[in-house]
Amino acid sequence: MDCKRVKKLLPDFLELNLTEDLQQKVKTHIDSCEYCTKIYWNLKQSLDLLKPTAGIAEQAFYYERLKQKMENRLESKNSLLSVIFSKKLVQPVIYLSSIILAVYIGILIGSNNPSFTQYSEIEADENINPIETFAEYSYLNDYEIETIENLITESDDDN
Amino acid sequence: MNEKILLEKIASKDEQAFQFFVEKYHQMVLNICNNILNNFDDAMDISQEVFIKIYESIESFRGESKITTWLYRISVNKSLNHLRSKKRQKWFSGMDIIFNSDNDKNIPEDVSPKPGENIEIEENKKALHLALNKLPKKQNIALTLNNFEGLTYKEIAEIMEISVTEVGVLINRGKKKLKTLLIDYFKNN
Ligand SMILES: [Zn+2]
Repeated sequence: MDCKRVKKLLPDFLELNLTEDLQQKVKTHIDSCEYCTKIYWNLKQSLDLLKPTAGIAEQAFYYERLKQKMENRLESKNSLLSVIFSKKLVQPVIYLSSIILAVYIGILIGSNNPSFTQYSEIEADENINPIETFAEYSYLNDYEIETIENLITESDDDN
Repeated sequence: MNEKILLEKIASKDEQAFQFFVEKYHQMVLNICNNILNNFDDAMDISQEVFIKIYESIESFRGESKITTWLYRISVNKSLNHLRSKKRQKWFSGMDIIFNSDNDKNIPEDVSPKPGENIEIEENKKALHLALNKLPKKQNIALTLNNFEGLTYKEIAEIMEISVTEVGVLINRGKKKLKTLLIDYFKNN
């Protein structure tokens, strides 16, 4: 029997699952082969470690450390929530949205309410003299849209 | 204290009851995590996550199974999730190597024997954990719970939410595969 075959039979050999004949043959090989002996003992010892172990002992201050961790987590969570729900963030958002809402309602009313369309009746009224209308609006000269500073400098230049 | 009353008290955020509970079960939870993670610091960290989860979700415990079954289940799930995220981290630190950045974070797990301990046993322990981690997840869990924790097939079935027969199959296949993996390991080392 060669090492390769022994290696294959080793798991069943450990469990005494082989026929008596094979069991004996594997044993004979292991006894005479250093290489297979090493594998056999290492395998056996590793499998022996597969059993309930005392493992890790009770830990002092385990609860205290856990509590610390929970408190830290709560703090960081709270600080995040407080940023989101703080007046600093929420108030401006409410103000801004109410302004937008107000403007939007204003536009809605403006486009639907007939009383606002009366301004366009100036054109519709045939009795209105176009010259009078021009005179009425003629003060809307170039200066009206100039800044006061510009007006002053220009009048200075005239002098 | 009666367990049912204890759980009710924890549900109503009674701190003393929670402390009693943690002190009673932390060693058990710590060992389950350590048997899966094979790393004390990680086990400490994840076991704490288990208790935080319990504290936050105790209302959802229906009392149909034993509290220890529930603890086992959460511990196993949290540990497996941690292993998964660690695998992802390894992938990213692999990318770090490729991109030639600092890689001090990629500290290998402490598997070197501590002074005074039997080197051969430590070597075998390392081989066992390497082999267990190479098994399919379910086989690994079933074997770990059966062997390290000494749980019965019925208890494992409850924790893993599978049938007792399935547990038997997982353990048998797992053991067979484990031996092959161990032989391969010793053959090459
Ligand atoms: Zn041989």
